[in-house]
Amino acid sequence: MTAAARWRAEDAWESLPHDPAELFAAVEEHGWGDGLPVVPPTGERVQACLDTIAADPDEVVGVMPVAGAEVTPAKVAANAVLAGCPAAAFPVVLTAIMAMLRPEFNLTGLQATTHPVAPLVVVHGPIARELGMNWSSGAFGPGNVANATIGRAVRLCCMNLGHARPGRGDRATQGQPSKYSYCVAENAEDSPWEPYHVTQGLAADTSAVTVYGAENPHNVNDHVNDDAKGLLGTVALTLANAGCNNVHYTQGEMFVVLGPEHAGSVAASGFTREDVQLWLYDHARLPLRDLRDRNMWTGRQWPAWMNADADDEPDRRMPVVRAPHALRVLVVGGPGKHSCVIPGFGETHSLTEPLVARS
Amino acid sequence: MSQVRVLNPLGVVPGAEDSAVTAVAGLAGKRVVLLENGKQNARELLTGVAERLQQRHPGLAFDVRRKQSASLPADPALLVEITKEADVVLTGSGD
Repeated sequence: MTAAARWRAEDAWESLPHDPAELFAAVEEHGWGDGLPVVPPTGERVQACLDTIAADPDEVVGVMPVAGAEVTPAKVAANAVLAGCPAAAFPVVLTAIMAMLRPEFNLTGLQATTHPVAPLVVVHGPIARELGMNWSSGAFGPGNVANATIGRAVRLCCMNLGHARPGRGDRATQGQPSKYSYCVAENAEDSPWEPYHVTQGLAADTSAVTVYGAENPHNVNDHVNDDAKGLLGTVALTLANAGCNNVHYTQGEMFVVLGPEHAGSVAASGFTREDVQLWLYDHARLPLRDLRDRNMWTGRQWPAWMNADADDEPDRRMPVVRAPHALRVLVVGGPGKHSCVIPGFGETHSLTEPLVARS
Repeated sequence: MSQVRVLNPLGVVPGAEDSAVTAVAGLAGKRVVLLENGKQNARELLTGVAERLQQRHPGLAFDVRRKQSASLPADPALLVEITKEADVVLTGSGD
């Protein structure tokens, strides 16, 4: 048998009922599902996904925690189909999964933790338009096929390839709704700044995917301020959250996802993206007295200077990340005076990767 | 009933069939490493278990090690070190 035919081997296949309701029940019984109806990963549908990429369907691109299962494009494609993902979106799913397997993402921690963290997928560049993704009103959901099914495919991979299921492998105390699906496209056309992936060293016309180990979005409502300092003051107060992992795992990042109206107002005050990062680094702070003996205090991963000040300065205002660049700023959404901040897992680093080679 | 053939979406774990750990043959004189993950109460939980084990098996020797972070896998070098030193490893957190 040739290596390329491995995914076609007889023992990789199962027979399930054709009837949609019976199929759904059978998938759940097999432990393959996420509680929602699925599309059967037939040979034709899986092949359609694999036809979009240049890679060998059976190439082992990594192993996924917590089980340590081999990850191949064919297995990722089976989960993408199960999620209802259009074949054209499969390169985005594969790019996201491959990025998540890099050590700095710490997928082992994300899969196994009691924290509710979910991988957020942000899509940049021409592929978002090609797929008809939503980066405007209601972009985080619901209602867009590509947004919804790319995120769901990533989750199903975590469950089926990593064998991380609630209470077994995935030990999240409560979980969070974004563990069903968490994918959005960047609104580069209404952003006053260059596209996010350009800040990560890629060309603006390159299609790219960012993955980030994230909490749900925390809303920032500000209908009052129309200048940078006023608006960012509200953002800073939302970032300074004593219950999120970042405050004691300051080596991580926090995402600041501005709605286009807020971003426009901030930029109209003359603020660049770097100015936003610096200003928020200085102002999104919590006094030491509010951090001590809470959250992960005994296991905190602070740099030496923060620990030194922790001895005798209860009024010292501590940052939520170690450096301004760890506050990642991008624009998503449509009209309205809302933005959001997205705290992270802390012990993880976001990654922005160009789309895998397409066929 | 009409059927449809589908690709099994579950990941295959290499060597999963032969990964069972051999049980320790008795605890007399064994070296036990308590691997603490840094979470609140982890050390208290593990030392409590160790004290009870010590009462039942007085000949046991204990050592405590700590992971760098509760949220990261243990450093591979630490695991190699523990593998060389320990007959039994106890780990867990006291959330």
